[in-house]
Amino acid sequence: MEPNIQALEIRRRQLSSRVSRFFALTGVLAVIFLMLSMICSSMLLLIPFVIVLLIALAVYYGAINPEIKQFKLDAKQLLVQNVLAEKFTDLTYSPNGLSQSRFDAAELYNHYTNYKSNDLIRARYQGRAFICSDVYINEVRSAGKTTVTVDIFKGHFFILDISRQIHSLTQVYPKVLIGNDNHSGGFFDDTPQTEKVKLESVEFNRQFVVYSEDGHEAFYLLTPKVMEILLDLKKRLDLSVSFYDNKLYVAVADENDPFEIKLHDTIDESLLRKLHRDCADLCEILNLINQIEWNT
Amino acid sequence: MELSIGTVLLLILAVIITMLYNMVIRARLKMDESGSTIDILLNKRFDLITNLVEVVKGYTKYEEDVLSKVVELRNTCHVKPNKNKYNEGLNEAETKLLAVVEGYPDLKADALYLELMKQLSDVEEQLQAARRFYNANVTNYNNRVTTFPSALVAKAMKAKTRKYFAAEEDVKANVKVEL
Repeated sequence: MEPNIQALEIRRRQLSSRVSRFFALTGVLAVIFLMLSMICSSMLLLIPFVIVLLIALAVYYGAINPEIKQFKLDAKQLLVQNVLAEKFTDLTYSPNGLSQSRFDAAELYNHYTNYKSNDLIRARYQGRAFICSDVYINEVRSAGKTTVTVDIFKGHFFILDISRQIHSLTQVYPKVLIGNDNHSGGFFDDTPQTEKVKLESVEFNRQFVVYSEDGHEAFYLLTPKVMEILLDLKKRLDLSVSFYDNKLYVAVADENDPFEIKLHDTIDESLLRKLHRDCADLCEILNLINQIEWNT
Repeated sequence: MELSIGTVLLLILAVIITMLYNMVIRARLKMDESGSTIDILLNKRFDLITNLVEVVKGYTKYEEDVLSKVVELRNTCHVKPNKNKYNEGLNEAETKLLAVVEGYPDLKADALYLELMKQLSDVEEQLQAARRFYNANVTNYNNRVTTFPSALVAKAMKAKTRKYFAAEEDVKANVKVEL
């Protein structure tokens, strides 16, 4: 393995060992004080137990956790970047993810509470430029006394340029039983006002629901060929698509979080193989969704 | 003031009739709007073909009958608008024009010609979309006019079903392949 990667592995082992020692020491001290308070039947001895826990929490979140995060960022920057560079050209990789404003520009998901993103990739694949990032959004819903967190989307988010001039927003969502209540265009919404559009394909209307600001443009973009492609893709991917501002936005749901490196993962050939598999999976998805772009 | 059951029922009926009336009107307006988009695109297509004819003229001893046919179509259309015939006429003019261009490789590399062809290709795609959108709106309107209960309101309005924008006859015909 390269010297950089070996140095990274040494750093990982040292950090991992420090973290383990920290938790072990905290655990031992906490158990000692807890047992003493039980033996002596003294509530006062719970105070050092609580103090130990509070100090441990402060040390963990103040010093150790930032170090772990920095290690993960550095590991990704080195390892993931090298793996991606083998498949993509003009590559820019950032572990930090896509900005929320860029994600919102797609007008694909407007009703959510929390946004997280990582692994932003800007590159060219087979000559075509793309941007890709892992995104996770959820919505916190309150109903009286209960609060529920509902996952809205978790997976890969792609942005591709298209050659056609687009003047309005068109959204394509998979049809779900309850309804696509995350589309934009409600009466009190300040997002683009869209209307439901029914295409001429019965099967397509059964699998997808389309909203657009301009019905004509929806038909212009969703040609019979593109509808056929989307129907075929739906068999393999759970995807939502929007066309806006001369761009194609594709959200592909995926519960897996690729390119993740944990502190306790040994940095060796097996981890590199896993990263290569994640990259291969990404390329396969790109091959599939590029068909939409080629035919638009 | 207490309302009798009869008055309430009448009010509900009035609301329902108003809603159905508005549905039929909205469907008709949408259909007419999409129909006018086809007209705009057909005119754009005509203009592009006319411009192409001018470019071709500069390269060839141009066959006059194509231009005169295009002009004749435009005049006919103004007298008695018929989208299908107008579109078919433009198809015929374009086919003849492209057949002439095939014999002139220099023309096919001309920048203006290429730009016009690109615009023409885009307009034709827009036209395809406009036709599909129009037909979808016609389906929606015809559904409103023929299905219960909006059919009752449509009958009172003397609303009638509309025809679709037909496919070109040569597209519908079987394709002959000669090898």
